[in-house]
Amino acid sequence: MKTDELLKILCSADGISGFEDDTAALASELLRDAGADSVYTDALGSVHAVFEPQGEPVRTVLLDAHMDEVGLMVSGICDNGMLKFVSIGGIDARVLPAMRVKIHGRRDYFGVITNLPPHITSSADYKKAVPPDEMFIDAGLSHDEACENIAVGDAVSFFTPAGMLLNERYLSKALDDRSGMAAIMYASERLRGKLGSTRVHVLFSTQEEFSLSGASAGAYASGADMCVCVDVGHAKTPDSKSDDTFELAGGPMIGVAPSLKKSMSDELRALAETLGIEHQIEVMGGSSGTNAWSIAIAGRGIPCALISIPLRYMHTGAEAAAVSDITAVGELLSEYVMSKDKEGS
Amino acid sequence: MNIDTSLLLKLCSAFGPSGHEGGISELIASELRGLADEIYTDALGNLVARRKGAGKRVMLAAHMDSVGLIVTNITEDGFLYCAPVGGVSPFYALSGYVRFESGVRGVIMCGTKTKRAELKLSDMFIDVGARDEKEAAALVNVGDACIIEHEGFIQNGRVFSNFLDDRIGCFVLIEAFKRLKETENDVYFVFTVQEELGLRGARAVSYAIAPDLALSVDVMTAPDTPDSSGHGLVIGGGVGIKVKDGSVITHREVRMKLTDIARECGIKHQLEVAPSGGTDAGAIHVSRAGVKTGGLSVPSRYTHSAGECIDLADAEAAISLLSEFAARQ
Repeated sequence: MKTDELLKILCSADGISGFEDDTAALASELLRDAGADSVYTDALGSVHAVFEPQGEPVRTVLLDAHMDEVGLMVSGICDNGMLKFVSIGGIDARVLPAMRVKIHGRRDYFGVITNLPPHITSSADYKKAVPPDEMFIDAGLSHDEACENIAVGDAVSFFTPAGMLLNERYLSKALDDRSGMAAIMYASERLRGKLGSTRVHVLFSTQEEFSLSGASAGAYASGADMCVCVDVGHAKTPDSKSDDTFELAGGPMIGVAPSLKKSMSDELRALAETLGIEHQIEVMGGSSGTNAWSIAIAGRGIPCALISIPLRYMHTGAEAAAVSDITAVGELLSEYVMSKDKEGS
Repeated sequence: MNIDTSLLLKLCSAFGPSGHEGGISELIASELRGLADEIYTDALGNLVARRKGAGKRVMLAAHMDSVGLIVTNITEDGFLYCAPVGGVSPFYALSGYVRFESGVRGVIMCGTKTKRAELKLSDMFIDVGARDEKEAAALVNVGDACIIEHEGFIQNGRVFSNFLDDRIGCFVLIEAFKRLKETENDVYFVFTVQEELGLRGARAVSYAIAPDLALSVDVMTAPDTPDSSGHGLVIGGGVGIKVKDGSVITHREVRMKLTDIARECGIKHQLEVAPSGGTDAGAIHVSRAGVKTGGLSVPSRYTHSAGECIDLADAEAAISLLSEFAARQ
């Protein structure tokens, strides 16, 4: 399947951390269609798919991307029917006012986050960001209607349409990390029937944005010998600093960090050079802020590499990535697994 | 309501700061010895009381450690400086009575020149009545832990006491064990250590037990007092069924099961979405290949102070819900 088709399918689901069921259902179907030998969901809701090699497996390579997206959760219902909320994942409260949202209550309800119009905002307040605890979700419901149909703890997702910008740049609230899932799907399809001794274990994990717990538990269960995580990184925008952002459409960002396996980072870099895949090197001192951080110390420990897809406007209702970067990550990933397979037994 | 309040107050006054849970552990063990099929303490000090069954392994956890202080230095004048064990607010600690495991008592104070608004624990010292370093050293060693304690009381159906975090959870587990019906389930009542240091005991004991299903019982601060957010749990509003806190998003299946039982049995409950704070569920759910984990909260006020407060009706609701949950398939 082409990358943009994969994105269209994967980004159609809503799923904040802890509420990934819809994404999991879509992912499971894609994995079955891609010829996985087994597909299952674990205790924390992560989707696993195992692709067996032609011969006796001598190594298992884990490919991880997370299914969950950032969003909100209902934390209270006010007397006037307005909903209080908390953030799930790191969200800049400045992007929230007037955002349209979907409340996953008894059924899905549309809502909007409150915002005072400029006409009735004092000039002093106009320059200030509204603190999150002074915002509400307005779903147009009375207190009784809200209590009947919406409960504290219901998930709320951003309700912003996905779509293609010019130059094959895709826009969606959930590219972090559906783009990573798309890259792994692309790689899995490309690897079909090509591996002699390498078992591929795909993990689409839950709760990365909250606690990395889905990846930690899923990786433990996989018993993998090595892992490549695919997540997103920060792409340059006109207002960004140049030293911690990367080129959009500049190719995969190969992570280098003390918590990552250096030899794997080096192999990925050399492979990208050999294959002529344009790429960028992202160096991190402490935590990578991705599942690689927890997978590396899951179970007995799993050597990890990290490939990131350059992304603009992370953790907003409109994240933007270049389709070419996602495809290139899929290519690099599949070539890397094939290179491991060629090492034989 | 039929609550053994004297046991609750006894649990609240037992000694057991994180890493020093021997006293509280012995008290809990003495309550459960006649009831459990098996009772043991693991390498870290977690206390496990088991009702054996051939069915699913269900682990119920409450932490028995409390916050406290540990002596870091004794001055020539015989004053003790200390470091916090867990989250200790200097404002709550100031002018507290302290007690060491040996029974030595003291008070924690600050000097007359210390600015109260900028109070830090490192500016505060314990006075055990020693005239000099030698007298102090005869009573206390560097490295000894102590607790800040005040006598608890019950009034108007509400308990005021130190260490309701999480002796109320321990109490709920003990009472639920007493009321546990016949069940196929293999039920582990676990009293964990070192929760206040970062959910440490629960991590190890859940690895060892490898449960199919788990539930932690703890307090959660209710923002229902003057000048608090007002959105969240209220004390007296029923047992809290946790959706999230700072450490865990609970498993939907467990959450649904708890709300279904509560509705069916008419147990007063409220759903909890807490922006911060953690509990053992945060460590348990990520054990091994992942554990379906939920949380029950007894809503409380003034967490980590000497005057924590809970409503007995919420505790009763927690006991009813927990004992029912433990027996269900």
